[in-house]
Amino acid sequence: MNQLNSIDFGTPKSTSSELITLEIDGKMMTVPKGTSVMRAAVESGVQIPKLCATDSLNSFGSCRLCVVEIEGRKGYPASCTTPVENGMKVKTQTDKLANIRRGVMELYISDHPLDCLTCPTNGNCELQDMAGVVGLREVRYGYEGSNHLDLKKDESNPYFTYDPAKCIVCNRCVRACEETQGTFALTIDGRGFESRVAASQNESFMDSECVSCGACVQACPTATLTEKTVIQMGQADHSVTTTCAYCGVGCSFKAEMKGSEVVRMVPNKNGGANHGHSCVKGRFAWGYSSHKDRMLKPMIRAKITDPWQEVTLEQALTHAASEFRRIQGTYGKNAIGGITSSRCTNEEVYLTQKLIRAGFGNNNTDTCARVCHSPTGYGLKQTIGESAGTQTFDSVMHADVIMVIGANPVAAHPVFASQMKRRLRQGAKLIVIDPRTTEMVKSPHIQAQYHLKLLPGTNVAVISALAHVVVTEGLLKEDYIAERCDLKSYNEWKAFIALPENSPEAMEKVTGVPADDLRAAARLYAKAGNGAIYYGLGVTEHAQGSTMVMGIANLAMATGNVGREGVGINPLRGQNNVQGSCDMGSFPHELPGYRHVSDTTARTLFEDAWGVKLDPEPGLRIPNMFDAALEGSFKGLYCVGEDIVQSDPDTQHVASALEAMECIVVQDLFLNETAKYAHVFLPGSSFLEKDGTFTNAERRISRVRKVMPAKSGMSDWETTQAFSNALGYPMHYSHPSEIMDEIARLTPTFQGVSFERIDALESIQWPCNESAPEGTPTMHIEQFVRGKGKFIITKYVPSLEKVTQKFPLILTTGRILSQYNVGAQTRRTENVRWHSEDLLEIHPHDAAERNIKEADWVGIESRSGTTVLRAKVTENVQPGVVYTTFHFPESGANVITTDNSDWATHCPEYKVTAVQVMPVTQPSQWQKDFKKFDEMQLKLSQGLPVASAN
Amino acid sequence: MKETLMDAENLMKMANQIGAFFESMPNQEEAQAGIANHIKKILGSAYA
Repeated sequence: MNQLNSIDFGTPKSTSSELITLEIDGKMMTVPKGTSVMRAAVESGVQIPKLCATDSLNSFGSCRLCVVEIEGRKGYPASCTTPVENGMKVKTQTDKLANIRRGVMELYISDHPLDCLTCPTNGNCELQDMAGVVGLREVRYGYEGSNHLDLKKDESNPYFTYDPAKCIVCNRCVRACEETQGTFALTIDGRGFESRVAASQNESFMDSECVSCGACVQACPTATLTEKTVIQMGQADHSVTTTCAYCGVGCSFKAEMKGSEVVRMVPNKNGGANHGHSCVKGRFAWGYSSHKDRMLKPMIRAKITDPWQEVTLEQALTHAASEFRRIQGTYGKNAIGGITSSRCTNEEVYLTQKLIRAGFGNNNTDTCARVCHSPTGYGLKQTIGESAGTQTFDSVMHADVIMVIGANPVAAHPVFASQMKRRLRQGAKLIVIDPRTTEMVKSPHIQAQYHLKLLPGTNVAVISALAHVVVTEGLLKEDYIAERCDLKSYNEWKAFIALPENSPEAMEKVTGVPADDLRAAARLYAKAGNGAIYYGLGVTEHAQGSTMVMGIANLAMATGNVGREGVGINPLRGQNNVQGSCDMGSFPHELPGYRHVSDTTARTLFEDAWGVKLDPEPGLRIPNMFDAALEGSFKGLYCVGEDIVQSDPDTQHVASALEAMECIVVQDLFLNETAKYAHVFLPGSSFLEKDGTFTNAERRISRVRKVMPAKSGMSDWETTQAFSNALGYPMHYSHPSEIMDEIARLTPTFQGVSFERIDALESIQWPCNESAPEGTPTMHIEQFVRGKGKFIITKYVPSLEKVTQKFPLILTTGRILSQYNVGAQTRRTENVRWHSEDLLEIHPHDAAERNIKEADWVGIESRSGTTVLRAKVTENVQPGVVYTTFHFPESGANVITTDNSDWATHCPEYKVTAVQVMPVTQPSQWQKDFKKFDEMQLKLSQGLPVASAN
Repeated sequence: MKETLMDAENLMKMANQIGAFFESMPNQEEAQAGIANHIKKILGSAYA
């Protein structure tokens, strides 16, 4: 089924700079070499009939509908598989071609249901279109012969159906699963007339290897693969382009609408980050925005054991403002603060930190990046001068060696993983550095050349050892370093890294990585024409997170791998707008644009614009807010879109801190774990209900567009503005574009950004200013942002978290494809069908030692606490290491994580927790208490009092 | 009275971690300046 208002060019665009001139139907035209005759025709305004061709996939030439006549050539070549040539003369319409095409359609229709009027793709079906285009008037074969009309539908997938009775075996779905997604879950089973699309070993879609990305559905020209929402609702009448609210890829989507209801989300093929692809979350898991759990009314209560009382927004804000000012009057100006999140648009984050700095009068603002990529901001700022990645996603298509460290993009950045896999299938080499055997290590047609399976907590030892090889084996790019790097720091670093203590042989003892493998991996990366490093939270969420980021930068600079396409330092930012929330000044020590609050020039700029004096001292980070709350000096919190109780480490510590506060204001879609400790609830708005921008991992600023009215009556930015006014700090924006205009006036890297400019360019990668009016896809080309790149010594310091006899295993954490972060959104969709609980992965050896079998309940105990999960016995983890996800609050994954954190940024060390695991027969005490507390809060949310609430 | 931003135990733990990072710098003066600068930038001049 086609997207609304979209032209399908039939075959992919050629990127050649060489031009070819040909004649199509008497008209001369010039196109890039490598363009198909079909695409050239479409570009000249001539539609050649087609069924198996679509511009997201390589040509296939099976349907024989697109045949043309080419002067001087025998027969009737398929225009999709025929590349243009100079002087070619093509006819797309002749009597003979018309007869051939009608014949082809007769065959198709002879084995196809004739239920067009009740078919979900009626009016938007390419088969139907082609029957009309070729002038089909009769099917001389009749309908009594062998056919496939009795084949049963596969409705196992919650989001789409597969109806084999309607399949024309064009192979588009199979090719989409291979070329676009890279999962290779589909094939054609049988030969000739028996050919049918099969998922895996002829299983249902749900049981197969299908990851439900929907690429097959999008590619299907008939109703064979159709979204269930289209079946239920009918087809959309208009579409609005917006940006996904899940991961840091930031896929562009067309929200296809019927009135103010979403019918389906279709990836935008002009999306700079995703080029028309998506994953199960972005494409299908948007139903949470209308889930029954949505809280749409403001509420207040005096104590967290009181029932919630519904009030007007004005009443809620007046109460919250009055409480905050009371707290400041009693405990001091610094006794309140706020937390922003990636759920907020750039404009909303900017407003919230402005409210805090100008309205609260302090710098107690922090954001979700604290617990994920804050070390990236610190480490890259120190070494290369900018707190962001250096490339576009497309850059990977020019990489020769790809090193993935502490990241599993197949789960956490699936659309980018698909692109990376495409490059790997073209021949690029892969090095994976991860304690687990993730899907990146081995998948269809892809095998990592080296999988350095290190022990959690030893990243810096590995990166230092890699650099040691580069330095001692003469693999340095000396010319590059001499020209672009600070030589003093380089020489100091070089002398340090060459020490024998940093050798692979010396480090093998701590890392568990065989020295030979590490040496070979280092050589592979260093000798690559283009070596690119991608990394995730397996790098940052460590006590040496910032050190490791600097180590990565050192290695990239030492090998000349920064400053052009195909290389780079690429932090895979996990969330849709975590880059943006950092850019917008959420940190307690940095104003928008990463300028320190003590920087008088920067601060004066904002003071003049905002009309108030600003505090020149850094404020509290999130962990410090908790400590200050327990100590009695921090009493009020405004938390927008972030669930700190579930996402931050050492849950019991966080809960105690919140209980010690006097006024917690939560602004969110749902009554999440943090809201259960709140005194004021302000209903939030989903990404479908607001205008603004998100910034993805590529620094790409994209529009978020309101496709429906805010269900609560106001978008988040409007609520924050109203809160500011209630507090006495006036804000009077009438549209988020005005907020972006202000950001652009005050932030040099955003100087050229505006809604109008983004609309004109589809998206903009900052910096965007006079020297880069269309943005900056690749950074540090002529020189590093800080001038000369700085090498920083990265000595390995073991984590304070030690394995002992009592806690002999190391727990590390991560994500799964179908769920997203704390699961607030995805748990409220059909994605729970793939992952309905967090499991503990344990190696068969460790399981056998403890008499643990698959699916047994196991207690996981750390120095912080205990929780209970079901076991999954797998060799994906190594002996001595266990692993879990954190998508379900009742799992209590963060009950057991500790308060150890990165030395520079306080990013929690989620990836290294010493634990013991043993079979159990009941939930942990924490889980029992959680259940009671949860049930109590549910009653209170319904306005019901709870007896013995204490 | 200025509010206490961080209790002594947490402050010592943090300071030791910061110290462990900077102690590998060959120039001790630069290392000490680095520690002081980092603490000041993150925690404020009260801790400088």
